Amino acid sequence: MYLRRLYRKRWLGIPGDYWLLIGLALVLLLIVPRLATPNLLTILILANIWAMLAMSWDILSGYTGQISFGHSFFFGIGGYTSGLLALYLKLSPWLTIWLGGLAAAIGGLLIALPALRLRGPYLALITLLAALVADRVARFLRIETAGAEGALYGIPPLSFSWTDNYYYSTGLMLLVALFLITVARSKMGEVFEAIRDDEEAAGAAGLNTAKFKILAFAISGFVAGLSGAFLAHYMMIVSPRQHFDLDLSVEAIIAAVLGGMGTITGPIAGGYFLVLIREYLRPFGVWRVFALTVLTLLVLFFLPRGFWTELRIRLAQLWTKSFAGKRA
Amino acid sequence: MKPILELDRLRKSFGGLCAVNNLSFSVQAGEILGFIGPNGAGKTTAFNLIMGVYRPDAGRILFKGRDISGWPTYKIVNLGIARTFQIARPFHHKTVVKNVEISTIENALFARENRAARWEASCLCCDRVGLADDVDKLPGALPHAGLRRLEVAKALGTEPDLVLFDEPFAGLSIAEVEEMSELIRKLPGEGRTVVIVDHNMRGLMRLVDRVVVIHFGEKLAEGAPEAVAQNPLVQEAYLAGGGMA
Repeated sequence: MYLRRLYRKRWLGIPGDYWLLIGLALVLLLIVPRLATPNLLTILILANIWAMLAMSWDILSGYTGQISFGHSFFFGIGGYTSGLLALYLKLSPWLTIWLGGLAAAIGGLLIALPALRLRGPYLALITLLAALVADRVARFLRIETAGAEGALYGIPPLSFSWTDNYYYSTGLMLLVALFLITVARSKMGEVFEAIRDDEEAAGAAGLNTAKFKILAFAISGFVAGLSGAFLAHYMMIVSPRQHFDLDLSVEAIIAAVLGGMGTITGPIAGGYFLVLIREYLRPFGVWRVFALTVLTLLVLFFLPRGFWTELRIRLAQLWTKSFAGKRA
Repeated sequence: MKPILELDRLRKSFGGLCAVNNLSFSVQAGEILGFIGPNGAGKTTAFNLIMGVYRPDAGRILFKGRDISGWPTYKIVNLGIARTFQIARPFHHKTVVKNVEISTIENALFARENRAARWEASCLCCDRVGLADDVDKLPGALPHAGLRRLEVAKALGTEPDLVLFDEPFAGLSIAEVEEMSELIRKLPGEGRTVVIVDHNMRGLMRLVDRVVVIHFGEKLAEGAPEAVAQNPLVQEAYLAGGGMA
């Protein structure tokens, strides 16, 4: 209930989610670059990419309830498409990352077709298998590159400078967030949520649920592909290990669930949190995976709505309480 | 009077079980039709066939003169049939008025739409079923009778010409049944046709204009409520006359 009210709340006629974005933009573009070390900047580039991946999972699985266990499928398609086009057709990376997103959106359409007939665990299995098959196929690719097992090296970067890449990734992440929040707040988002709650009832309300599910897959695929493409040009490499790994799919889910499913802003927080923890716990080796997993379990158990959502609710409650106190 | 809905020799089996067999009847525009039968007679299956949840094995369904058998649900709804579910199925994470608003959304993505008008229409629907004070509540906060009203509001939100009620009185108190009947009775006056499914004829007797009785998926009797209640075949089906009154 609080969440609902929170979302409807407007200040100066602008909904709260957009204020969050504006705040985030100010912090990431004006404050962070002045304070951050180069090392932190490189980590934040990854955080931006993972935030995009988590958001893409959220618009599909958090909003429509079509749970995907294979988001690396889209991530990888984006990365490979963009990488191949830039490497062999010498297209500008500024163009190819969008083409990568587009290719992944088409991949989303392909997955959506079986998804119209399958539900729940069967759908999750299809997405998982798609990612595994894509991983195998990529390993068979033996293009004249130095790399073994389907890796592509020497992909032209957007820029060689860390700072540039930081600004580009932040800009792209904010753009994606703006797009997805707008989608989620539109009638499309309303329909997605209705499908999640009860698909048959949504049909009985006169909604073409198949069409909206396909749309959700395409949008989600586009954003995931975009993030994969950005990673390819940032690391200047595409490989199955980096782009189709199962860990990616799992991390997308963990980030979105940690922050709060079905909120778009939650997965940004979750993506940042996940990458920061992962990178700063690097010295601890395997234990960091363990720590991250345990942490996710704890959040699932104690804050099932996600830490970011929980934080917003608490703050809103505090705000109303103190406001009511002053009045009395 | 012209029939708005016609079922023509409809058949549907699940495995070896024939749930609906050779079922034909028609619904006249503007009437309130009771569609009754003992438990397991195939009433809900017939509803699901009309709504496109199942595809009939044989037979046709004509609505406004068009054959809608095999159509997807949303097209049937947009042509003018709405249903309520036997067990209320609200969108649990949306407020009452938002639940109704879902019914007013159009499928076209870039259609010019007036959100304020949709909102207003949804609020009106809530008001009509007596949920005006509950528009901002979540469905979980509504009592059972409130959920049943919400089902009606969601159906009316689609602007239907024909409303199918699946056991609208289940679990309601006598006073609540009366209120729900009152609500249904108003619909023909707005140019809407009503079909009510129930296994219990008692509550329907004074509400419906006409009754169709089915048993084991086949039509058993059809006619005015009093005449049907006296029909020996119908009394036989209902435990040798025990269930009727």
